[in-house]
Amino acid sequence: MSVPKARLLAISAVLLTPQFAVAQVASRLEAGAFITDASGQAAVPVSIWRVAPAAGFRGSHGSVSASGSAWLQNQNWQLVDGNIGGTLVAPTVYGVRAELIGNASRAFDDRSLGSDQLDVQTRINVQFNKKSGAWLGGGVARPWRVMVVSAVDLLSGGAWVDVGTATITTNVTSFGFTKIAESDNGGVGLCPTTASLGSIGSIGSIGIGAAASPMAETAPLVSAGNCMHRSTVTDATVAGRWNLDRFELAGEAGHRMGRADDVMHDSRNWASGTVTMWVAPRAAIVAGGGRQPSSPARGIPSRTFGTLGMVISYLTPTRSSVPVTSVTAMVRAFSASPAGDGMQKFTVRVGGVESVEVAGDFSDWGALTMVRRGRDLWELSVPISSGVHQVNIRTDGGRWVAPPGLPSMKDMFNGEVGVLIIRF
Amino acid sequence: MKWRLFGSATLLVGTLVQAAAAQDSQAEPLSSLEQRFRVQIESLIDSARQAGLPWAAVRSKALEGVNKKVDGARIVAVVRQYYANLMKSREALGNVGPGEIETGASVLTAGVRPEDLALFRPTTAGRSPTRALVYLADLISAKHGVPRDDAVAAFAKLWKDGAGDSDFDGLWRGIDQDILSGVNPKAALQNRVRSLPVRSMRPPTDVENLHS
Repeated sequence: MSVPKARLLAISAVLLTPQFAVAQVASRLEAGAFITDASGQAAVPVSIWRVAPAAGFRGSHGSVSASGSAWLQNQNWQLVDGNIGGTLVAPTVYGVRAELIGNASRAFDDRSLGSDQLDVQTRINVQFNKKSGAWLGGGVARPWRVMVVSAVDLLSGGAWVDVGTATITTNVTSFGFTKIAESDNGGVGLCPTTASLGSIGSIGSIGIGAAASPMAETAPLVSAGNCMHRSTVTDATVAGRWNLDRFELAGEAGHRMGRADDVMHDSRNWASGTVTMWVAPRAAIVAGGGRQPSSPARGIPSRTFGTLGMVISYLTPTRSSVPVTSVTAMVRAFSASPAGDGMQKFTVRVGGVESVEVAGDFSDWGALTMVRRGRDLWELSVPISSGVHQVNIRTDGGRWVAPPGLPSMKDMFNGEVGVLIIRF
Repeated sequence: MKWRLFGSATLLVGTLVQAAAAQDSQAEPLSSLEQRFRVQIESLIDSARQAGLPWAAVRSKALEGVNKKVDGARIVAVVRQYYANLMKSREALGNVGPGEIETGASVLTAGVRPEDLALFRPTTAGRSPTRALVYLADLISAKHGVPRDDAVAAFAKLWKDGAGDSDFDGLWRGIDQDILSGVNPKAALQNRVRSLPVRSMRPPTDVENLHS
């Protein structure tokens, strides 16, 4: 599919619209050379120019993002892939949070092959502390225009940990799907004799970039000598991301498990890495290379690639390697009540946090740790004199904020304080 | 034996030094500031004390900056600004207590002009504009977005008419609720002020003054 150059530039310009109002908006444009070799399949050109705009918005209850890339080939821009996704995030309770993730994507290998996919996943995140967490999830993906004739069942789990300025993520994802397989010399291999359904002629196996065909048209092609084959492959990956001043290093290595019939030899193991050097606050040079495995459910072949490009970005893109992002816990209520002997009892209601602290002029602005009294109830009694007091609270060592329910004022340090008037 | 004795002595000295350092830190939290910044802060605290301003509030502002991990130069600049605001606040409010002066200084930070602050100068002994000023500062903040001039005019009129703390308390809660419900901040202010019970709220002393 070709996209006119002007249209592509217009889309890029929109995606690069300067940051408006909220800090969670980030967009980037990557442009440069991309060299790839699809294992002799010649499905993709070997040397191309590539642009990859991306934009995202992240709020406290979810995020949306869009990204894509296009290659310049034979004086024409060719759309390579595009993705639009969104995530809904449930409130965090005791460090546990649920997410609903949806994506619509399109991927092409060359002008004759492409696939679309819709996927929906649910995920439970557990954040052990500010530096580590784990997740478990599952979902379903629906590809079109490939030889897969069922929805793809997804099951994934993983963990992440921050070590200094590095984030290490491990992930295990299992894909289960049914595809049309060729018979192999009289019924051995993918098609047992008893399960043979017929011959599909020239249609190749999944994952090497064969001719595309809409799913609706695929089933009738199953004929004598071929069969519906259930494939299950499991990918185990380890990824790391390091931030070193102006440099960001990212790498990933993976191994695919599954029957020899389901996993092509060139996708058993893979590794890739990129180096990003920020040369200005919003501009970076990116270099990388490695090997990407095939996507068996979508018919995308494996490939070896190298890339060198320039990134122009509004706000540094968020760390994609960490699936769990920190969402500021919402303090639902704050109150102060007399506790006798010149004491006031502060009560805070907030769930899903490990610590709550209060500070104010009454503590010389030293942080006082509140005591958990219930599922989301935190309390602390402090000696406090009659008069006007300024107070801040924070959760999990985060930013100091004015407690809800109190009038607030600027603190002159780019923040706010709550104003508490005590009368005995 | 000698080594054991030496080790025990070192441990004891170390513990004492740590305890002393901790006590020192507790005694003066400003000690974590760089020397050059601490000197400037202490000078401002002394000046406030000599000028009869609430110097504890000046120190507290510096400590707030220290504990919020603000850099020293910024803390000095903020404390200097706060000191100036305390001066202006006292000038505007007249002979009031330290709490009122501090609140007045914060209200000036929120964007209220000194001449507007002077509208809340108490004319009755024992009457404090603290609540009115606290709520005023909150309403004109970006969080609520009530236009400053409208809010100042409305609050000053209520103050002049003798509104009490409970009146301002109810007014603030009502406006806050309306804005949260989606009412335009200016309209919320006008509606709530209009809905206040029509009664003479003028304090007795003012009435006496009028008749005298």
